[in-house]
Parts: sequence; C-alpha cells; structure tokens
Amino acid sequence: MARRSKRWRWLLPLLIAAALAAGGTYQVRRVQERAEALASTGTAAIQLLGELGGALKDHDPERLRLCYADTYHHPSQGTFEQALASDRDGVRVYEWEEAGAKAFDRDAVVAEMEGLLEGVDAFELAKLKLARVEEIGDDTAVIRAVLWLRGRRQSGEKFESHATLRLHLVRGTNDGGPGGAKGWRIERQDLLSGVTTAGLGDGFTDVAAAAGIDHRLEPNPLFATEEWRPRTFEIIQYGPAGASATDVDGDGWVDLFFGDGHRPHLYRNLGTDAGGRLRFRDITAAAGLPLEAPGANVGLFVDLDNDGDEDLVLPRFMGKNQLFRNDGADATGVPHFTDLSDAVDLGKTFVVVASAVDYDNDGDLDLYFGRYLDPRTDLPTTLFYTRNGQGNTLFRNDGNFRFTDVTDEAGVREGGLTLGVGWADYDADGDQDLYVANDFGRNALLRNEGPDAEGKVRFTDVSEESGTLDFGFGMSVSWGDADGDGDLDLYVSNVHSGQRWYGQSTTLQQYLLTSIRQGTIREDFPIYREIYGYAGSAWQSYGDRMVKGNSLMLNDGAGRFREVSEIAGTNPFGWYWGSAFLDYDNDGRQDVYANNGWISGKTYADL
Amino acid sequence: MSWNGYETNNLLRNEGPGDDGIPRFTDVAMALGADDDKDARGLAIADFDNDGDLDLAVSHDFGDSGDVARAAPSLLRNDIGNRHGWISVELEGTTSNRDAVGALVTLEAGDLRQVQVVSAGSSYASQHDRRLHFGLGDRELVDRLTVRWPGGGEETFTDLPARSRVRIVEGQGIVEPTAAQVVSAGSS
Repeated sequence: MARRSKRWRWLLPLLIAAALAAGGTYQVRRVQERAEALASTGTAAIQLLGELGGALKDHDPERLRLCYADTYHHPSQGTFEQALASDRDGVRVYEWEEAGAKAFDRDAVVAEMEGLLEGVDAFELAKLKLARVEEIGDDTAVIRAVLWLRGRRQSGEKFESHATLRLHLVRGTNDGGPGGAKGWRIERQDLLSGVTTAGLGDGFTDVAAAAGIDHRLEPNPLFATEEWRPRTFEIIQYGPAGASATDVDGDGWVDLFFGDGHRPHLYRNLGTDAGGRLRFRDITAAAGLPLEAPGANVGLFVDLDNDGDEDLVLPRFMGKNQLFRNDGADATGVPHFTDLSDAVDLGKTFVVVASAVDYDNDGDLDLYFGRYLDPRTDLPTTLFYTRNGQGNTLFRNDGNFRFTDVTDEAGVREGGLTLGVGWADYDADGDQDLYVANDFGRNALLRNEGPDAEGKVRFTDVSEESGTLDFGFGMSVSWGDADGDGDLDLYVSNVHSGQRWYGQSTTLQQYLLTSIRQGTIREDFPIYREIYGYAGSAWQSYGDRMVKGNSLMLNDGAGRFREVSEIAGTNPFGWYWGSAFLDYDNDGRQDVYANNGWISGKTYADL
Repeated sequence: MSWNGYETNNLLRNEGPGDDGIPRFTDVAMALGADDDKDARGLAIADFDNDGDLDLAVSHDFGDSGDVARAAPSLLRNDIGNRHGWISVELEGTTSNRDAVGALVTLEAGDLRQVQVVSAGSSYASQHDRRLHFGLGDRELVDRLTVRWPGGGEETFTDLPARSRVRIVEGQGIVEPTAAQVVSAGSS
C-alpha cells in the first residue's frame, strides 16, 4: 500500500494535467461516474435487446411482451410498412416506413412486432444490436438499436433487414421479464429508418471445391514452439491468411495463391471447360515453391526484373523474407520459380502484408512490407493509438534483384500494427502516395514529396490536414472512385461494435484514468498528448469513432477527404478484414465487398 | 463462445449519389448469395472465368469452431454481372515498370466517368488481378480512355466497344490481344 500511495504522489501533477487535457473544466469524478453509468446501462440494454431478439427468433409472443413496459405509450405510432424501392439485377430493395399513425399501447406494439413474423418461413438470425446510448437518466435511458433479421420467406426468397429504432427504456415497471422486477423495459419505440433486401441468393456460387481448390488452412505449428509461442498476444494465431490473384503463367487465365500462414498453395487456372466450369490445379511443388513456409501470410506476384513475368515475394512473420524469380513456363505451361532468398536481403519477421510500387519513379518496382508487433513480448499499448509495432519496411529495387532498405531515408517506418497498405497517386502530382491501416490505432496517409535536393524521395504524414486520420482497428485499405468524379477515394475496414464499446468499455477519458490507475500514464501520456494535438477539443469523441466501423473517405479532388460512411451506409456492424472496391454488376458504379468475422467458436453465443 | 464469429460478408451495392452528392450503398450479399459466414480474411478479385464480370476469392481462418470445412477458401463465381456491358484494360509499361503498377486509367462513356489505379498489394494481405475491369451499364461505347503512366506520360484512346479486352503497351498503343483473350472474348 505504501508503494501505491508513493506512486500516486508523483502521479498527481500528471493526473491534473490529464484532467485538464480532458476538457479543462471536466471533473475526474464525473468522468468516472459517467463511464460507470454508461457501461452499466449499456450492459442492461444489451441484455434486454438479446431477450427481444431471442423472442423474435423463437416466435415467442409471451417473451416478446415481457420486453415492453406495461406503461408503454406512444401518442402516434404507425405500423411497419415495407415499400418496394427498387428491383433490379436479382435484388429487391424495400424501405421501411410507418403508416397509419395512431396511439399505441403495449398490446399494439407487441402485435406490431409479431407482425414481423408474418410470411417468414424461418429466421436464420433475429437480433437487436446496440448502436448507441443516447441519454441516461436515473431509471430511464434512450438508446439506438438496430433490428437485424435474416431468413427465408415462405415464397422461398431470402431476405435481410436492418431497421434502426430509438428505444426509450424504463426500469422496474413489471416483473417476470428479463432482469426481473428491476429489469429494463421498452416504454416507447420509434422507427428511424429501415431497409430490407431480398432475392433468390443465386447471383454468386462458391465453386472453389468443384474447381479443385480444396486445401484447408492449418494452424502454423511454429506458434506451438517455445521459440515462437505468442505469450503476450495469443490471438495473433487467428490472423492468417491472404489471397492473391495473378496470371502467373501469362496465359490470360488468372491464377490463385494462398499464403495461409503455414502451407502456401499456388493454383493454376486451367480455364473453363466446355460447360463453362472453372478448373484449377495445385502446382505449388511443380512450380518449385516450398510446401511449408511457416508465417507466410501473403504472396505478392510482381515483375521485379521487368522481363514480362511475375516473380514471387513471400515475406514471413517468422524468419527471413523470401524471393522467387519466375523463369517462365515449361512445355506443359507450368511456370518455374528459382529461390533467390539466400542472395537477397529483404528483411525478416513480423510481416503480415506486402505491396509493390515504384516509389521513386525509376521504372522498376520497389517493395513495402507492413509489419505487426512481436506477440511473444508485446501487447498493443492502447486500443486506439498503438505505436509499438515492429516498423514497416521499404526496399528500393536497384536492379538485378538487388534491394536496399530505404525505410528511414524515406520516412515510412510508421510504427503502427499494420494490416493494410494501399498505394495510389491520390493528389495526381505524378508520384505514388501511401495509406496505412493499423490495428489498434491510427491509420495514416503518407504523401510522397518527390526527390529532395539530394535526390532522396521522402514522405510526409498528412493524415490530419487531408482529413484521413482514422482511429479504428484498421485491417485493410483500398483506393477507388466511389462517387465517379474522376478522383480516388479511400475505403478502410475497421471494427463496428457498439456492443463491445458500451458493454465492456467506456470513453477515451476512462482509458486515460485506467492508465493513471495502472501506473502506466508516464509511458502512455505522450500518446494522449499526441491524440489531443491531432483531435483538439473533439478528442473525447474519438472513443466513439474507434468502433464506428469501416470508413469511406471521399476525395474532393484537391486532396482533402471527408469520411461519409454513416451517410453512405458503408459501415455495417462487424469485424472486418479484407475489403475492396469492385463493380460486381457492371453498372458503372464502384461497389464494395467487405470480409467480416473474427473468431467463430463452437457455439454461436456472442455479445 | 464466439468473438464476432459467424458474421456474414457484405456486398455493398452502390446505388448512386443522394441529393447531397454522397453515394448510397445497400448490402445485397444475402439476396445474391455472397454472404459467406466463415472467418474471412484475404480478398482477391479477378474475372477468373473470363466471362465479363468480377469473381471473388476469399480465404478463411480456422477459428475455434473445430469445423475444418470452415478453413477452406471460397471462390465466389459471379453469375449475374455480365448482364451489363464492361471493358477490361491490361497495361504494360515500357519506360514505366512493366506491370504498370501505379498507372491511373480514366474512363469516360456518355455520362459515366471513373478512374481506377493498377495496384500490387491491397485489401488485407491480398493482391487483385492487375487487369482493370470497368462496368459500362448499357452503354455500348467507351468515348475516351486516358492512361496516365506512373512515369508521368499520358495516352488517350477513343471509341472502344463494350464487351472487349484491350491491351495497351506504353508508347505503342493498343496491341493485338493474346490468344487467351481471343478465346475468352469468343466464349462471352
């Protein structure tokens, strides 16, 4: 105890500084109380929403009824109508609206919710997710929740609905429901917006197994060894793996490579057969590539010697990064690779993602690797602004497969836990710029400033001035023209989970207080100061921004971006990895595909 | 217990701009059958079957489910996109890097305008086909295609027909398509 009080003494000036940084007049105690109220209200709301979703999924009107207060009252509530908004290319879109407004009591609202079950054959999913806690009173709260339904109609059509509801909650009005006599109940609900999409589910077909792509990702055995066991950051094991589309044999049919973190697989596309069916063959061994490469998450196929075929860069989370020269296809059309790794130094370890770019405009491709932290010894320093990554690396191509590490000269080490990199000349000044998406912390836009007086190309962090500063759990990045105005916009995948935020965690100030309590404020304070410097008086809201989900940043043509995901509808709930722009329906507009899902367990139970 | 497990991938269809000029998107993954619920990681995009629309290769992690089938990759073949027109553009650098990574291609067709960049490494630990694929809707002709090579040179091509593949070599213009391009154009 004596040690603790001593620590508190020297912490006091920092505490005051921190409290001041948190908004001048802000009282530390109030922050603490507010955080606790937010967390307990959030937890109770999640419990209630869970019960409501369960009652819908099980078609159980009695449980549904118990989620609503006997004092339920709405002076002019309408019934849910789903109006057809569009019907094209296999998708019907319905917009939700309320019709025939009148006074609603509990019987009326329960009947309304039961109406959602009409015509539904089975729900694959019915749940409500907490989006935001809007107000907290003594025994009342106002929350925003998303009603999420997936299922099949009796007509055979599949459908998915998302409806945003504002729910006024009250505590302790009837018992027998969730949480007993003191449980929270809904006293009033308002539909804010809603959309349903429906179709036969036949626009895409998974043909991987039928086409001969039949391997299954296996755990990397090195994680089980004493040397590589991830003692501090165990969940790194769930990170793999990447995918690459490349015409490795130059026959016009695009081939596929999977790094998979343990066993790489190169599949040659043999083209379609007479019935139009795709066929692939695993040529990993025939092409001279290793059958085991522990920690190889990503394969990058690029023409490093400008000879017309794609060489393979195979960086590693464990061990030395590898390079294979493509020597062209043999008589059977199978390309052959020669391992140059012993003669080439491309660095080593902790690489998760890779990219190629001609950053110095000298006509050959240079290599940039995104690296993570050392999971044996390190943990992310914060949830939102982590800076203890191993440092990314840039290798300049000097020709003939010789490379020079120019990371520090160029100023692109970054230092976040990088999971996404994307290059493009976003400001159309003739050189390639870089966006970096970092897990647990801030993403960055690094502008290529071109060569300086000594001919060295340097980069400047322009995240703040360009409006691209992003605090999410960045996991991928793509450049594309989302609004068809002829300049490049950004899509960055993150995490969107109000549940986790309000159910388990609190605000940014709370982090700061925790950091003070744990005695790590001295190490962490520079980070808070830096965030404050970037975010100014708005910094308290950065906690919310951290879990607001994927970002769509529109370029105004002058190199300034505006984040519009909430308006555009590009930040669905979930935990996102790979993502990309593509025009899947050839209508001339860039759509987005986004991979979602973190760790599926033996049961579906989740927050 | 899962941790954001069994969540489904999203296919966000661009519905065009709202009154404020900001594009609106609708998730059509389930309606079209692209709602993979495995623990998806990598995403690589290409027209693997050369039928004029983009397919999706998705890799998955094994998670904690114990179901090894969930660790198999998916290849989501697009069976709907080629109802509408498209053009595929393959670039080859000469003074620029041969893969033409970093090249910007701007397409103009009637009221349609769009720019795409050739990249090598994006998404998460992934790489897309370096051929660029532009959807054209019901437009039959690309009025103008402008290529800005990474080295800075610019070339313009006009009046290119829909449902075609063009291969452009820096400084040499549109060159003959490869044998495979002829084959695949015939099958579409």
